Amino acid sequence: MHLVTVNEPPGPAERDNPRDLELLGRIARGDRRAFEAFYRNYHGRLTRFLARLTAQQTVVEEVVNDTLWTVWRNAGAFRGGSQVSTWVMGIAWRCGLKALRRTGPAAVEAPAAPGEAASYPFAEQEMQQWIQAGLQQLPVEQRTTLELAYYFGHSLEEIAAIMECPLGTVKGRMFHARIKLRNLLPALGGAASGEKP
Amino acid sequence: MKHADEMQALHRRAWEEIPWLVNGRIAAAEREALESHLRHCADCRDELALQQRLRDGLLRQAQPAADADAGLARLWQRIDAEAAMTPADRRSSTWLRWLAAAVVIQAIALAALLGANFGAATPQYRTLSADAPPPPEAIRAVFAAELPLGELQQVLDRAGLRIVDGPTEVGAYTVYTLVPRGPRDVALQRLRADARVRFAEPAAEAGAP
Repeated sequence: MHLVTVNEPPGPAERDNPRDLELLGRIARGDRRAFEAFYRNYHGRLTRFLARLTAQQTVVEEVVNDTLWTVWRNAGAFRGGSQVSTWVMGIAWRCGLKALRRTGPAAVEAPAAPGEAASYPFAEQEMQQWIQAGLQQLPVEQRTTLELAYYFGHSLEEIAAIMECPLGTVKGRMFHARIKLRNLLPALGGAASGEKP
Repeated sequence: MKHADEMQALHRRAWEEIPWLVNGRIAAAEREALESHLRHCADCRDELALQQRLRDGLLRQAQPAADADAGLARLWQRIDAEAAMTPADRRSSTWLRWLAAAVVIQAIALAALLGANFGAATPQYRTLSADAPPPPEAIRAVFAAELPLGELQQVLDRAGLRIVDGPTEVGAYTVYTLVPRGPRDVALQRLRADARVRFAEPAAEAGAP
């Protein structure tokens, strides 16, 4: 089940952070309206992020709520050591991994055709299919690293914080993801060869 | 040769940094060095173009369906249900989860023990599944809701009992002597004499709880 609108990526973390911080402060005081605003801000992006981990929509919905429940319970404990979005995505990653251990790996669902498909040339749709097929070939850590960087716009350091791993591990995952996709996505790369740097 | 090695190292570093140029999160100093490298490295320019196309493709992918209103309603239900619990309920629910695991382990150990020692002579002891009738020595007991786990263990130890089933929906446990340390009636008297025990009857007579 997919909406038919073109995805609206989240804005840069720095731009959203003052608003998120203000909401978190109110949530820590039990402000339900603030939590509802926060929930709506993050619901779509968490759904997108977690749908990369599992195709089971009920699991995605459950983990989205586990993540935001944790925010509700722990808003007062956030000390501002990172961007709020980094903190939230880190919670989602941990909750998602826990759910994956419980439910087992599930193939990631093929996406619906891009929104407003008629406005895209055929090559564009073909590229989307290649991207999706390529992403499915990647281990979940590499796929998540790529998604966090390219869709969510996180920096190397933020991804290391979200996935709780050293910077070198993020670099390694990105490196291997790129090499693998380069070899799997000839249509995307055009004349690109599979050679390494 | 050294120059070639340095060039190769610079190239590899530039290649690694391309994604962060693509997503706009590269530091200013690194950006300058990378852009300088890109001016004379066709391979890295190709890679940059490829990564930009990949990112564009990811950004254009359709968003999975997301019903925020329904999700929020479910989460408020969960939060409100938790808020309605008393502190004792919350403690209870925490240790009950732990206890449930312990009960399963004990039930398995007990089933094995009984199978080894008494299985042939007393076939009704062969299993302790929920469907099996309680053995004659079993006692059905309900403990004070706020009773901490340590104290519950103390009550059971004094009466020489172990939990083998429960809790039921009303919080009742089936307990009985793991080894023949005394007749059932002695254990029953000890339980009934303890103010932390709300109810204790032979399981065969206790019925529903």
